[in-house]
Amino acid sequence: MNPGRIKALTFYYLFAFKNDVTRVILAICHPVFDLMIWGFTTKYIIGDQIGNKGSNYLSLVVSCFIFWNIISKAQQETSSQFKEDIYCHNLNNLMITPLKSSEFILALLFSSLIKILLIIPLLFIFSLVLFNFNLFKLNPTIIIHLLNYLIFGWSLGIGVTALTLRLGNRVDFLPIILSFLIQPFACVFYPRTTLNGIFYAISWLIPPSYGFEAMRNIILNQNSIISPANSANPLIAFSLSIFYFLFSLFFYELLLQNARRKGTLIHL
Amino acid sequence: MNKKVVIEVNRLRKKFKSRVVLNNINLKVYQGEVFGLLGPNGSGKSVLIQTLLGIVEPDSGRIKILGKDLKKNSSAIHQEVNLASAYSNLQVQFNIIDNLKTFAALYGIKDPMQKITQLVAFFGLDKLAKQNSKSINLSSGENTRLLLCKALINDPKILFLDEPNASLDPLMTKKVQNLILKFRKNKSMTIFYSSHDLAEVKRICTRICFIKNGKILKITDVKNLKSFIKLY
Repeated sequence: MNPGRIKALTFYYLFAFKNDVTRVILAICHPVFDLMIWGFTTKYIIGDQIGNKGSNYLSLVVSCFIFWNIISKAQQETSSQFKEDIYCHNLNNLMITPLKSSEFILALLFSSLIKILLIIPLLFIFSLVLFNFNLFKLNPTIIIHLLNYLIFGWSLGIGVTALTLRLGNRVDFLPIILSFLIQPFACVFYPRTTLNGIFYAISWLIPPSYGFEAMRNIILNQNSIISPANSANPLIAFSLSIFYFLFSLFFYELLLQNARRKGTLIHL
Repeated sequence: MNKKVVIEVNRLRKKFKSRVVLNNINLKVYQGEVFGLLGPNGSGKSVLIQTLLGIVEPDSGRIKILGKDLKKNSSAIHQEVNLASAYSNLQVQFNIIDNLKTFAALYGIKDPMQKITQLVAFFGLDKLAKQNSKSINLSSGENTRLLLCKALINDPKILFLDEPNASLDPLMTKKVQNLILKFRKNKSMTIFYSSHDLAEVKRICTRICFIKNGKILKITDVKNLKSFIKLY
């Protein structure tokens, strides 16, 4: 692996993002305005209960919204950068450089991480100003689940990238909607027990659902995040995230080879 | 004197669904020559180039570039080759210099600005470079010249040109052809040149390969060209 190439491609993706005003505005404005809608709606619903219990619910909704954005941004920014090269017909120019698959993937992940580190703190600032939500008052062990959110989001992003390699513009919609498809099963705003039947079963396979269960334990029940309860177990979540991440890498390599055999890269 | 083989293709076959696009391709390209690939639209020229670069995986056959197996050594081979294709573009949100700097970094070029300045001046893009024009604002001819700059950024040992003069005006076309002739004279670079323009290929190539329906009809020296024109 060549650090110089990884650095070059990481900066390439960051500058391409920076130079596209539309993308910057969308990346920042969309989550900020979404936060405002969720936060103010919750504030309205809890109404007179804005004492201890009410403000706990408001903190829960705001924090879960922000942490969900880590997952969706990790997925969207990983997969949308790749699509830019397809739109420009620049992908093959990159593929005939000495870049290896591992370097390419790492650059996608690093550039998405940098963007997340720019956008998420902005959301925390807005949540502090608008809803008096202070991240630093949360139990610091929440960090354990943040890593899970990031790894899971990246797994989704790499998976979408792989599908785009193989299927091209037919999966144009996936980077935008995939996180929305997963969201109901991640139990972001409600406990896992709210779901029933097959949905309930599926939620146990979604790593972020453990983190959001833990958030509810901490904020509503004042419990520790290191809960022995399986529903919030960080080890199970982490194991699942790692499994999905490794699978997404395997899936990417598989579909890249398949795309070369089928000749679909010619058209990208 | 034995000439060094830089591209060696044995029994290459490729089929997309039921259509055979490369049919038992065998060829050798020698160091320093300008090897022309001539054929009508849909004959398999671009697919052959993309297969030689590893973008398309053949169904069977073997490819060796600079003495190395392509499948096992693609990263090392890619360090020494490059491509200018009329069918691609660079990142549209970047200006000329940023695009070339990116590729210079990917090829590990030390002190890239000197090389970039030379290339940009040679291909008449220096004024646009100073204006910081984004690639999206360049004309198709200017984009083609930018791609040629990119293709030469790493001083490749083998340069693949896939209809590089599409969108170029006659003056710039002649400039590119003269550059190729200079490389041919110095034997400083091997060029694999794909075109459907017979006159152009006759002028600049040392040998020409006729391809039709994915099959090589004949490979001949330019001086023996007259006998095989009918095939094309």
